[in-house]
Amino acid sequence: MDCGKIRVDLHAYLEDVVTADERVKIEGHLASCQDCRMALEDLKQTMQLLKNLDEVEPPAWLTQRVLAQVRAESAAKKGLFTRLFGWVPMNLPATAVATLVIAVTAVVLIKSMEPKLQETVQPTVIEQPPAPAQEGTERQAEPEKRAKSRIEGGENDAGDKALGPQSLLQKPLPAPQAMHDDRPAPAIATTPAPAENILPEKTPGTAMKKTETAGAGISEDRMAASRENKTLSPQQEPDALRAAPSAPAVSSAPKPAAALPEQGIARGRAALKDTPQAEQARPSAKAAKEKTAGPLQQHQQLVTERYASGKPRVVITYQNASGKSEKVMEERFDEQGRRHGLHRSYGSSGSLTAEVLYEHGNPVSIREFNADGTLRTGISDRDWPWLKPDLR
Amino acid sequence: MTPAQPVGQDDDGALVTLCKKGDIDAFEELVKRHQKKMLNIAFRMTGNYEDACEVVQDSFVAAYKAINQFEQRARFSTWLYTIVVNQTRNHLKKASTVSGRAEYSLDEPINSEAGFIRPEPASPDPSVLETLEQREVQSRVQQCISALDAEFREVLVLRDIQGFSYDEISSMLKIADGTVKSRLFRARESVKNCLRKLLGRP
Repeated sequence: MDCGKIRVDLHAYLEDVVTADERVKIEGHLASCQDCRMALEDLKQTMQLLKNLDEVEPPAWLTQRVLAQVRAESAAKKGLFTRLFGWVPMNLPATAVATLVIAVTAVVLIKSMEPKLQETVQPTVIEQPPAPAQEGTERQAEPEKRAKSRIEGGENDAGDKALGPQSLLQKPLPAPQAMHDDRPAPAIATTPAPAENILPEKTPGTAMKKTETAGAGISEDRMAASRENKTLSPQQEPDALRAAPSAPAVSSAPKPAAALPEQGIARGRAALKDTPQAEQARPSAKAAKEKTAGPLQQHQQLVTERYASGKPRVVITYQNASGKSEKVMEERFDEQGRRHGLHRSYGSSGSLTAEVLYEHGNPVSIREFNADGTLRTGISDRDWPWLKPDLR
Repeated sequence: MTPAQPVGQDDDGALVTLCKKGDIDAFEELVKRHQKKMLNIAFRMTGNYEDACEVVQDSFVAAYKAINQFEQRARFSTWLYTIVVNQTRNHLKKASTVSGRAEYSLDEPINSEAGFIRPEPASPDPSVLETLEQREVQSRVQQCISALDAEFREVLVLRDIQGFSYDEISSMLKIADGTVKSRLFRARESVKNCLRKLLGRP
């Protein structure tokens, strides 16, 4: 029997999926061939090494991040449905709904005739005393409108009706609209963060990220928006965790800060779940925001160094505790946005508590320090959930 | 470290039904059940922890979006692991077209701003040294896995690290049983030779 065939069969032999007949043949060959015995030994060791590779543990934020994205997906779907059909009261009898549909159709038809009506009244407007030319253009629009409605008289009915469906539609609409428009930092945005974002994650923009961007000198109004938003609302709190995925930031923060996001998530979730329409979550979220606002939740991240491509290289997180700004951690990234280089986390007194060295996203080593600044020795008792067990 | 508990199809089946009705809490439970295995598949294939987390995140979101397409004849877990394998493939493809993998050699000194050059033991405790040695071996093994072409790496990770059956692998990768075996043979032989070089085994 030739060695080449045996080498192939050795795999099946090691996995114990050979027939008794084959087994006898293989073992007969092995007894007389040292090369094949060595090959078997090597293969055995290789498979053992593969089997014994340590498992990695998922980071605590992974579930939260997945669920935030999934909730955003489902809210976006619901949002579209609500926008299209949300104004239809679902418990009305079919006839009432049908009547409503007919009425709306009629109104829409009338509205489609509106341009014609406007064309006919346009010349009349010109005959009116000209609107005061000195006034600003926005003001000018107003008298013109008033004049128009005075003149249109009977036809105005049609105009009002034409407004009908809009106002009808707008009742349920403003909130989702508002959710998209005036939230300076959506907690659950579906769009990926722009390339300029500080953190390596591909996840939605967050209040914190906006803060950083503002810090890096973007437009004034965005800065203002982010200043308002530094206190994280419950819906944004999962984002806070996300934006600071590393345990140092969370664990080095005093206890209340670590506990609050949990409650915040629960509240945000409850708000989303308990109300039929997502938009109702907003007012309650706002109320909750006021309740939970406290100095400990205020984080600010600053990019202190960037690559030529504009991507952040060094990011420093500060925490505002009782009016004082304290450094929480220092993070470094490679050009792909992965953690790279030395990360430092600081304790509440501003003392260095740990250094983690990363190489292109992978933690390589950890050094921890005692309160007096001396190096801690021995196996770490700190919670480093995202590290391989042998690094802990 | 808790071993991944075997999850029966029935356990997942009820949750999947709830998910299809839009129950996000049920989905959360599924995430918690399967994230570890998914992460480990992705981690061994990408060789990078953060990339693996990203892949797993994308996989779960993709699974959620497509959950209505899942027919409950198959095991949900197998379906999920197929998604993570595909997402990993896409990720690796993207990474190789964008910039090429930022490969690094363990022999090179580590370049860091603070001059923290070599990973060093926190204490001379023998158990720590042992751990470090073991870690070094593990990172060499990973280096050899990463050196494989993706199609060979996939079968090796799924069979020799994750312990899936040939049937499961063949249905996940949509390749014939014979192909799984031949790829596995080549993958193991390559890793064996690579390790012999790196670790100086006989």
